[in-house]
Amino acid sequence: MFAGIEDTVLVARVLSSQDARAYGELVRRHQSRVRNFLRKLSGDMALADDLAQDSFMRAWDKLGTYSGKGTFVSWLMKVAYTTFLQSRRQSKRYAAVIEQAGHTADAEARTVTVDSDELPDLGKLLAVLNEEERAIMVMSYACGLSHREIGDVTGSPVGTVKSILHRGKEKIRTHFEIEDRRHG
Amino acid sequence: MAEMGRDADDRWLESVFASDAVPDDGFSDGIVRRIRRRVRIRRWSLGIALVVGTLVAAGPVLELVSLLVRVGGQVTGSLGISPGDSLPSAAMLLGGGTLFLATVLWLRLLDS
Repeated sequence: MFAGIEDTVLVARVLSSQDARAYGELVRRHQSRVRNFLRKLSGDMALADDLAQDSFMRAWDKLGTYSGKGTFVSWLMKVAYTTFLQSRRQSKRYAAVIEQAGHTADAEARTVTVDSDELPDLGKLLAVLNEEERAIMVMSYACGLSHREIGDVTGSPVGTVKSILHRGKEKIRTHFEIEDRRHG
Repeated sequence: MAEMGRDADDRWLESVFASDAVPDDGFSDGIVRRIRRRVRIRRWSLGIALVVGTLVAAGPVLELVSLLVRVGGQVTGSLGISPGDSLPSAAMLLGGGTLFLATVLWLRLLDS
């Protein structure tokens, strides 16, 4: 029914007539990316899905603040990221997950040698990054957002986004010895 | 550990971060159901608030209207005009007001 209709048109329809079906189409289009983002950020699938639900409900309430500048998905990711940050401040459950991930990283990650043809455990990889680096790396490499879109989500200039990405990659290089077989 | 070029780094990280699309599994339908429920509750709350507000305000409004009628009567009397000719009665004002509020409420219910 809504195939081929742009996100901004659906947003306008929701705003003009509170059309829940049009909003449902927006949710269907973007739920995978939002849930993936929150799953990787929190490391807890059930918690991430709860946060995704809260994010979409909050996005419905705040849809009027979407000005049409930038993509709808980057606006949505901003709502999801804000929801995540707010829940992190309140949730003991999340703190426990992060603490556990940190201990695992301390115990196992520092001297791990990784063959570049093999893929290391993502949880361990993310655990060596701070929260800001983790969020930006996930947005870039897991969600495929451009630097500009990430800047929109985090409220940072594009140069800062690039620098944080670079720092994150350096940390991963430092903590994981990556053996490259591709060049012989 | 071999040095990796920037593009190779990016490709490697993309493969590490890659994951299958999350299946919907009724997620979006759940959101739509919650939103419809919220919209219904909001509309009914408005309707109920309107009715309760009308009931609460009816007494003071009636007193105000009767006061205005009395004052109007005194003013028109002092000008030598019969009050019944120019001012509507309190019953008419109250009836009109009630009809107006009922219409607003009915339109709200139709909208929902």
